[in-house]
Amino acid sequence: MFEMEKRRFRVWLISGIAIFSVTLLVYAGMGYIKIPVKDVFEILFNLNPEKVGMTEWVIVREVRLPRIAVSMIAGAALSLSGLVFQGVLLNPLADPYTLGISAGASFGAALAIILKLSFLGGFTVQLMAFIFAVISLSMVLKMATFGGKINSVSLILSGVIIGAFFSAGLTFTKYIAGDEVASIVFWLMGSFSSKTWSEALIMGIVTLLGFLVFIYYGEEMNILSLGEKNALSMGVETSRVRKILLVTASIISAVSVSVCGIIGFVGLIVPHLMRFLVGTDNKKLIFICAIWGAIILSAADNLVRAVLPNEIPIGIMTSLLGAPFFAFIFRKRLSGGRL
Amino acid sequence: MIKAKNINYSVPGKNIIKGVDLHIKKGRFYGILGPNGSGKTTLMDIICGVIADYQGSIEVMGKDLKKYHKKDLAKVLALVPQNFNTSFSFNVEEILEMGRYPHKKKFSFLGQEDRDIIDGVVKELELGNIIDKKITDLSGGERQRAIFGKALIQETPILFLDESTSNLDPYYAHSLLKKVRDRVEEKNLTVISVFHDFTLASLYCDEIIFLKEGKVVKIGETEHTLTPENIKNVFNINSKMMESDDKKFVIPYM
Repeated sequence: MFEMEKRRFRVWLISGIAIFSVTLLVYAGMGYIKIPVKDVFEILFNLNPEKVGMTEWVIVREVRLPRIAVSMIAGAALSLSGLVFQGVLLNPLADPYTLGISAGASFGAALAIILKLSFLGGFTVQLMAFIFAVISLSMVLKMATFGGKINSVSLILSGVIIGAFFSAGLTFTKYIAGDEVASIVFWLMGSFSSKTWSEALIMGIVTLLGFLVFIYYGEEMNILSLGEKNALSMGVETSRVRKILLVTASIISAVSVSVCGIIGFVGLIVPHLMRFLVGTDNKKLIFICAIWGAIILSAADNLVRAVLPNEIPIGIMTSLLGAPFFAFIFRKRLSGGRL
Repeated sequence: MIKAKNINYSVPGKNIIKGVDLHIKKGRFYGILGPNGSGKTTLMDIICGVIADYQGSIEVMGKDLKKYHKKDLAKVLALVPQNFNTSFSFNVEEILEMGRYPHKKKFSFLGQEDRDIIDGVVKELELGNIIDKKITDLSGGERQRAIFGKALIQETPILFLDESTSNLDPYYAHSLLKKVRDRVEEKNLTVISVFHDFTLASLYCDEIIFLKEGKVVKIGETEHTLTPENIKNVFNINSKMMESDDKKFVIPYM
């Protein structure tokens, strides 16, 4: 049994890395202008720009690759933060949006849109979304902390309360928005289109740092799932570790949400699906969720970008596919009484 | 082993522990008895570092409890809580391995010595038939045995049991307590255990600590302390001491 899970982990990790690399090449060739994988390969490794043509060069390097990179990083970030939220809050239904992050980010973005803020050029909406995600997160954390300790039930309740507050704010901005209401709605649906390398870079760095923090605390995360008392008596400084993990997970998801808008269900489904495949050990799940989260979200994005006749926002896609899929896994697992 | 002086602990509106002094000696098995709400679990949580905002001073093996690094404390004392549940489906083996966490360096794997300790406890507690099962698939009693095993794998000189055998059938309740008792005698383990069952307490404890309304009302050798008078005084219930094969039992009745 134990050996089998170890083998499964290796199989899913290696196949994940392989699929990840192959799809990167394939996706870059997919789209309105089809580019053969061989040419994509040459463009990627800078072998001969003239040979494949400048248009293809620009399409792959400046349009498709940044978008693919952003979708992959967002997939990894959302899945990782979902994994951490579920593990730390001991709540299998927690996801990156539980702590009011999405509500805060949405309100910040909507505010930037209706006030036509542009103090940071093209990044203004993203920055405002991030600022408000952090504000709402700190309000939630503050509200849920009693005597230096964070209680997971009060954390989720605080998330609901602060989330409701910012949602009302969002509805109000939509109500007074006039013509801009379309941009707000579009932002809320989430999208990877016209993403740039600088956005991919910011997300990449933040997500990588978060990933390293999670690896560092992987073992503590396992022990935390035995409950507060067990973890404390086993030598884990529960409040400190919990705080570090929560804040890190919140920040990586806040960055993703700010850049890409609301993309639901990824953070909820991927960790559950991966537990189903490789077991409950968080030390393994951190790697598996990162790589498969990237594969799954980029696959969904390339489905809406290159396969469907008309592009629909990715947030709609993930929820549309995610909800029934989640219901299926959930029923299946719950029938065994476990998660 | 443990010296506690004038321990007080309160939550808003209620003093739970009121001026408790304790001196726990090495290599003895202590039973804490007291009615519901008398502060047994709270007292235990304070002494093993789960509750930190108490007043008073506690020394564990000559060192102030508040000065311990959490991981060092976990090398000295282990706790088996009252009940154990998780919604994450770890294997029993994974949970037992977590017991070596305090002794392990970050990112290092378990060594042969750790493996031997785990194997020894698996054999001792007869966990072989559940070792590869998911903890979430087990019954309450089986889960409790697994977490009991984890605490023994921690290999600490002090062990706290919080009604740890209340979910177990008589065979496992007695066999676990017997094994703990053996460790007290062979390895000089110090045990502090909350009991609700007078019979179990009378069979395994060297000393009894009676707790009532957050105060220690009586402490002493089991033989002289677990008496019908004291039980009547603390629990307001009658009881009878019986003897058979040089074992003493206390049976409560209304």
